[in-house]
Amino acid sequence: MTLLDYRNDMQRCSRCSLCKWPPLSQIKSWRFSNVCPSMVWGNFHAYSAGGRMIAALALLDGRIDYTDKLVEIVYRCQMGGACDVSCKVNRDLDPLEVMLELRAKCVEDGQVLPAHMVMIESLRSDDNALGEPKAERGKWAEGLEVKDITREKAEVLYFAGCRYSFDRDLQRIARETVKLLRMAGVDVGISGKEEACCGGRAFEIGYRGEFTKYAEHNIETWNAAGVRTVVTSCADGYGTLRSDYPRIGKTMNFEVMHITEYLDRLIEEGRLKLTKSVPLRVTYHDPCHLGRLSEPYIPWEGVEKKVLGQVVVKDPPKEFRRGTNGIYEPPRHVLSSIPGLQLVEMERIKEYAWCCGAGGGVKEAYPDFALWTATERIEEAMATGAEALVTACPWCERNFKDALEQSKAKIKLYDVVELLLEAL
Amino acid sequence: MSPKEDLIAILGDANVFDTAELLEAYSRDESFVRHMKPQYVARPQNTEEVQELVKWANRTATPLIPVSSGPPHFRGDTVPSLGGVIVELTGMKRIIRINRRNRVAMIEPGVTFAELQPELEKEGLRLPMPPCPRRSKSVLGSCLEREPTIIPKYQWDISDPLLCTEVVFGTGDLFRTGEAAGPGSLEDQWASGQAQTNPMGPFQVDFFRLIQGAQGTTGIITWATVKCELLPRLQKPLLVASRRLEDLLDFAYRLLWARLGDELLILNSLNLAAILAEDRDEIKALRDTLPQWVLVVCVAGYERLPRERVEYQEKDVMDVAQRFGVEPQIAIPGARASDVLEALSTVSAEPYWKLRYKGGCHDIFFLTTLDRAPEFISRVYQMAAAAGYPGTDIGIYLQPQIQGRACHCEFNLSCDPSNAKEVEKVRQLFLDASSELISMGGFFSRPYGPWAEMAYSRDGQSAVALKKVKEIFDPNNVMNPGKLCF
Amino acid sequence: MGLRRDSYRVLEGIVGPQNISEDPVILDTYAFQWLAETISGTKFAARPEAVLLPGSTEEVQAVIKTCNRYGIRYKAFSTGWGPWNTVGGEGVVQLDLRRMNRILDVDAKNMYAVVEPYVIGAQLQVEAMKRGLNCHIIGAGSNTSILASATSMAGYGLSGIFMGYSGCNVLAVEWVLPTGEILRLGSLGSGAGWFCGDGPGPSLRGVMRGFIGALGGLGVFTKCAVKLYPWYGPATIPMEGIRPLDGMPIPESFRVHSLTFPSWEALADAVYRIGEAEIGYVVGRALPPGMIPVLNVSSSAEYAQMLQMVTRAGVMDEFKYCIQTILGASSARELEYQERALEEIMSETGGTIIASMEEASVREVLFRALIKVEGIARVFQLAGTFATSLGAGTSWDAAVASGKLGEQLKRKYIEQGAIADDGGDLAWGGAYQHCRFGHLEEIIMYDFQDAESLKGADDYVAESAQAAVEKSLGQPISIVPGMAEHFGPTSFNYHIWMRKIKKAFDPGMTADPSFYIEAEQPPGK
Repeated sequence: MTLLDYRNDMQRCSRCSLCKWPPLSQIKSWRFSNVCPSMVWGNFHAYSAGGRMIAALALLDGRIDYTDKLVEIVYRCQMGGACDVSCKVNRDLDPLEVMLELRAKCVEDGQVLPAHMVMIESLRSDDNALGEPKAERGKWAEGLEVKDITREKAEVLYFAGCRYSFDRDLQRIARETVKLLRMAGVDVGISGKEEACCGGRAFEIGYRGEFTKYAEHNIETWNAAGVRTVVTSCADGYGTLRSDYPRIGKTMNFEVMHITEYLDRLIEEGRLKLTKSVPLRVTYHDPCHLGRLSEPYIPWEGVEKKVLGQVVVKDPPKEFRRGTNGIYEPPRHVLSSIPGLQLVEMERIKEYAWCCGAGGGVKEAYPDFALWTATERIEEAMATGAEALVTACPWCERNFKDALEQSKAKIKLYDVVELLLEAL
Repeated sequence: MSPKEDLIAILGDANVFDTAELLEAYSRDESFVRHMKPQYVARPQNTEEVQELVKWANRTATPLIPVSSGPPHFRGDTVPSLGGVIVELTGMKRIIRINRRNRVAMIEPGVTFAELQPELEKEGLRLPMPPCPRRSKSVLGSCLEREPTIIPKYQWDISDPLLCTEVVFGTGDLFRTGEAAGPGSLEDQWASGQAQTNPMGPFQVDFFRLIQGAQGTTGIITWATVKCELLPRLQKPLLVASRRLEDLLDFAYRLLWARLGDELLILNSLNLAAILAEDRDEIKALRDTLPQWVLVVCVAGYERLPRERVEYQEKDVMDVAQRFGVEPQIAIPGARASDVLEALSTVSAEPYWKLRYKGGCHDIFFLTTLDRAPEFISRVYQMAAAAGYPGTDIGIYLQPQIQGRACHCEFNLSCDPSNAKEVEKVRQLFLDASSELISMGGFFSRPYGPWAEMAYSRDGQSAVALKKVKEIFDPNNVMNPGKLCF
Repeated sequence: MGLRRDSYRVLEGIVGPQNISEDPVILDTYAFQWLAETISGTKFAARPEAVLLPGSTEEVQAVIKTCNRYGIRYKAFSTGWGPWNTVGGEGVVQLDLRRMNRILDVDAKNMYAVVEPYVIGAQLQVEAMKRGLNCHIIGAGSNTSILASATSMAGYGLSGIFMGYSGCNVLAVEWVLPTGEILRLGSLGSGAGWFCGDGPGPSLRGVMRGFIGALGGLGVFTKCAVKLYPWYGPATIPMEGIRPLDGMPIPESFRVHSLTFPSWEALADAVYRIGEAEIGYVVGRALPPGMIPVLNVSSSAEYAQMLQMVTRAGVMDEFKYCIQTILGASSARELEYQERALEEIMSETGGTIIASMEEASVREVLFRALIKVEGIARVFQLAGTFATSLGAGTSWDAAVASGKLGEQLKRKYIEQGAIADDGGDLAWGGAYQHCRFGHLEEIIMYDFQDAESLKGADDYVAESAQAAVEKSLGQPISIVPGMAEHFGPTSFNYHIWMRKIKKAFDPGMTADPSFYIEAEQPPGK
């Protein structure tokens, strides 16, 4: 679908501002009652999902033309989708899809940010958006002696993703994850330096061509490799593979799982036994792409008809993704399985979690805004009384890490895998 | 034509007065305001006459002072500041309509509590009242003054129980406020099921709020609807005694939160004695017997399951009392709860209860919150002592309002009107205490007499705004000039 | 047109460059509105000249004074939902009060809160509940501004049986007048606190608003105190699920029932008796028959199917004269009394509890929807938009008459296919302050993108407004520009007095009058 295809959605926005808040009955305090980082930052209505829908309509109808402000409004957003969840409590509209199409249109019309151009250049030259040399990609796995699926078969492909592949502070988590899988007897392999970006970030910032290229490449490669399951520790990657790859209509002969799902399964099957106590009070941050943005894309093509006089129905019926079936429980099960660990919840969780701040090209284009968003989340974590903030995504971890360095807030940061390892 | 002839042409000669005695009676009241004689006393009998009167007043630049209650008056608002004509509405006594289904009565300004309550009772209704109002007190007069009533749970808005009104503005224009304005005549509205129970509007102005509290400076009400309540079938009054006021406050707050009880107020021993006893000696004796502070609360049952209602409310009140360490009783030394309730809910016998102790009384009252009452009381006692006025002669009445959001705090300073020294002492204490209380944050929302200057010098912006309102509804300043900030 | 550069610079100097914009994209997101098509024919009403985000009363005051100096009109809003928030034409700047979003105080003892404009019901409610209190939330939802409802708009909500009406719940107010002076109403002006909005002397709340507020036409309200009400549940109630809605566990101190009656008259009687018995925490027609399916369907297609199915099966008959009730009590004894009283009332009026709504999960969903006041926005879901009609605040009998009239008048438009066939009865409303007054507004759903539907909706609203006048059912609540001029002559020409008020308080005519009244009578009127 194109931006024009969503014109009815834009028109039907009622300007209720629900996109700015968590679902109303989930608001638990004044302090943590916002759900849209760009609205809290920017304040003008245009920074909300509803505002961007209006902007898109105004652009389509020729009421406005591109300005720096319009471009900033489009891109100063992590595309975390909390707005979409909140809107869909009551409406059958697709604000997030509208915003994605708006970005695609901006790219088509050459309205792009320099920081994003840098990302795409890097992608084109080195198959990652981080500006790192492709040749270095597999170095995180040096010494692990793990199967290379470009040369051997494996049941499970561990997809490290760009962030874990290159971020020297975080690489050990990927290493530990592979060790963990092997400890549990999993027949796991990796792609090493042949691994390529999932293309997710390119999709988010509107570069459809790049996204399609990587999606096709990865699907073909993994189909050919005969892997049964692709497991990743990267929530962004997980969301891309599970939710966005179906957009291109290519059959995926493998299951996609996030590491927390897989570990949850291993624990259930008794293949991982957690015996050591980890006495720590933690709170868990739901990464956007593991949570509300992980439901597979459901293509729809059809028309609108009217029944009962003026009731508008879609024909065929359109199924909406509302974030309900995101991966919320598996990470929590894993954490709850760790002896001695006490899990306390933040106020904004699951479908209505506050974003870490890193996504949507914001970390690259608006680093201050990304850090501010993370700091807000860290404050929420600290308000629970937790000693540690735990998550399951390297982008969240990087952004929280950077924010903690800046703020010196006294809370530890862990990946789920790190804590699980301590319990073994 | 002379003014008198003009008035007679409008009202008929039976309704225009200028006897020396009557003019002298209206030149003063129980308050300390400056004496000033009116020129005439006019008694209109209906809306048309009121309207003609106001138009005449505009043509001739004659002040009009509307009065709906009979004497004695206490606030100074019925004493003409600049002469003029007293518009005595006491003769407009129609109870136009009582509608049981919508619990509302439509009455003219001359209807008193003593006249209305029996009629309401026939319909199974009652109107919340101030504590034992005087016999001559007009219901609408009381409502227009925003006098507190003793059942705070029925006061959703400080304007309650006043609802819709018909008014002649100071311009001479006739108007109806609230949903009474229309569309449709009253008869049309009654036919469609309306009952003039929504006081707000019409549309984007709450006209009635500009008339209420205005001391007759906006216009003259010719009828109004008032919000009535169900007459209890069963009542269980209780008294809670305490030496310390503070011990009663949290209890009272909790009752308000739990919406327990109908009547709910606090009196000190002198005021309770004055309400119950008949003369000075009896009051003194009773005052010395009664506890220092008494909270009065009454639980009630109405038409539906009255016994069950009283039973659960009484038990719940006892639970709350236990939690706060107080003991509600049906009798305390010197008083039975049933007698107290009876006295509070009935029009005062003569002499009016506030005058029984010494023959004269000057009230200081303002709004605050209940939790602040002790500090105001403490200060008044200090000032009285410094002025040589006995604290035991100060009556105190605390009335939760707006369902507990505010509290009417009242000090009654008794004095012997024939004792010039005492009168002067009380006058000075009245002024000094008022000034001190307002500076402490007492909100003098009903600025009678000298309070007007105190209140408006503190809130100059409101005075500016009110003058704009005055300019709209009474541009020629014929309506009770010299009052408030006009 | 654009602001003169000198005035723009002054405004920018007041709020800061990041808090003012005249970029077209920003401006259009303020021009776009629900029901804008009733004003301009498109989704976009007039564009403001600039949008400002003041952060304090001082900034608001400085902005207004600047507007007066330069002859610029302005219009402020809080959450900005509805066409009455838009500017009335060219040359108007928009003040978005989003940055003024603090809860300044929750006085638990004296049961009131002090809020800034951008505090929404959901925020105040959760903070109040921590202290055993709740706040009145209007039917539009807890995403609306508490201050806006109290000072500037209407105030109907189904908790009104227990918590009144927003216009009656307001205490003291801080108000920046159209001329730029700050007026503090009631106790606030005397430096005594926030507990009373009236006096000294007459109450200027009367100028601030009537049954409806001035909708931006009399300056800007920057803080207000509102009454809070008892909450008889726990400080927090955890609940799961978003859509479809899971329920909210019902605390011991509450009961939830959907009731039905044999006729409108019986329903009317029952509600009067509920009011007299002083029971009920939420009572009203939250779900008129046409809305019942909306509670848990996932799409408008499902709604249509379900509505047709239940209508054919005669199930809707059960909901024909229905109300939803929540009883809430401070003690088990009181709750028992309330239940007994309700039983008696039902028995007297032929009412019954709707069995299909008694399942625990259904009651829990209803409890959540009514206490949290979410889900109302679904009324936009089906046809794209909705409009309202009738709905004057009046006696409950007259409100019921409005409900009957609305259904009758809608029939023609449903038969023409101009508006959604919702079964005919979407009369929403209730009885307030223990049934001292009430309202029922008839809702219609229509497709604003369909010219015939738009016309049908407009015609229905006009016809029903006329009928309300002819049948003395009060002034209808659908708010459009020029209402005072239109209805004033039916009600003692109140519009003439409004005009005088406007002129007196806004001599510079800078506060956008489009939803209030112009200071001068337009020519030809």
